[in-house]
Amino acid sequence: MKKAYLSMALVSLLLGIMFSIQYRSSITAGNILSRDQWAEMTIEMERLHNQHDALLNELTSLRNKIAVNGAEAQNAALHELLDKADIASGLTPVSGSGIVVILNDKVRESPEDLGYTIQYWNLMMIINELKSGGAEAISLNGERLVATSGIGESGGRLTVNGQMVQAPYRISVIGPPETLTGALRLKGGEVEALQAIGAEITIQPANDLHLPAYRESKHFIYAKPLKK
Amino acid sequence: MWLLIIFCLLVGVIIGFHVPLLIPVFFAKYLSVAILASLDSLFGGIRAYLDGEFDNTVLLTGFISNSLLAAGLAYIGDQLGVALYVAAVFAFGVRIFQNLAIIRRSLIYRLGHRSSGAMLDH
Repeated sequence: MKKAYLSMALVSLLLGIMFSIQYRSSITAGNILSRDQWAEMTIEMERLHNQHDALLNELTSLRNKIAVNGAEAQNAALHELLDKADIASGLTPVSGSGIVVILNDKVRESPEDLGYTIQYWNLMMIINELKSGGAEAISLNGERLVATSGIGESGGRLTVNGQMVQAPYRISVIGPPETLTGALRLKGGEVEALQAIGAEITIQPANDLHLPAYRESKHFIYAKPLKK
Repeated sequence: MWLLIIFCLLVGVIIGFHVPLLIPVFFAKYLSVAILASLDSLFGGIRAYLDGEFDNTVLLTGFISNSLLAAGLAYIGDQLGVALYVAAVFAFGVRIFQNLAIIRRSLIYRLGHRSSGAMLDH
């Protein structure tokens, strides 16, 4: 009788073995990816491999270029660096698109009206907002602003680069017009505050601005460049 | 019969836990189909046993041919990119439930028969 159910015994034995093996496999393979994920990962890996190869090729070709015409490449790199330094230092006139901001004092309309005179810190705040808005070159009433420029006040007059300036203040900025305008028009920004007081401010985009060079040629006595 | 099945299942589980063999994820599909095939054979065997028409040869050949066909379907499905093994899973699933229903009825019938017989004895 027992022998008659040999097949049942065999099948249930097999079932038990497969069950437990599959159970163990799925437990140990808990963090292994499913088949579809695996395929995706394979594709991704191949893509990255290709990218890696392409970048390696580029690297070797660039290295070869440098090796072959090292002097030429160095020259070009130096020129590029010089252009950048020129723009950044403000030692050359620049042109480009950007915006023009014109600020004017609030005039007294009646004896009780105190009016408002734009102070140097108002201009500094606005220029700071322009810089964080991506300004590449700024001039104020024809005075180019550079790294050493200061805006101050002496004798009731505002000074820029040591030159007296007076209202209306015309700030020309080269940079992305939308971003610059957006940076100025931010809620709680200086423009909003000044307009609330009554100062006249106009912001216009300009296509072809010409900014003068920084006038003084500065001699650097104390600052020395660090060797790179 | 019941004891034999449970005993063999337990022995199989113990063997499976002690064999240093793991199935790669890739073959999990095949193993699942094989597990279903053996479950199907098991339930079919129990049914046949309860119906009194149990046959070793029928069961073994059924088990082997079903497993082969299911594995073949899974393989072809893999090659074609179509989940053909679902057909095997579906067929086995339906049959397992059908067999289970028949086993259940058969058992209920027997138990009911026995208890009514016992009542008759009283």
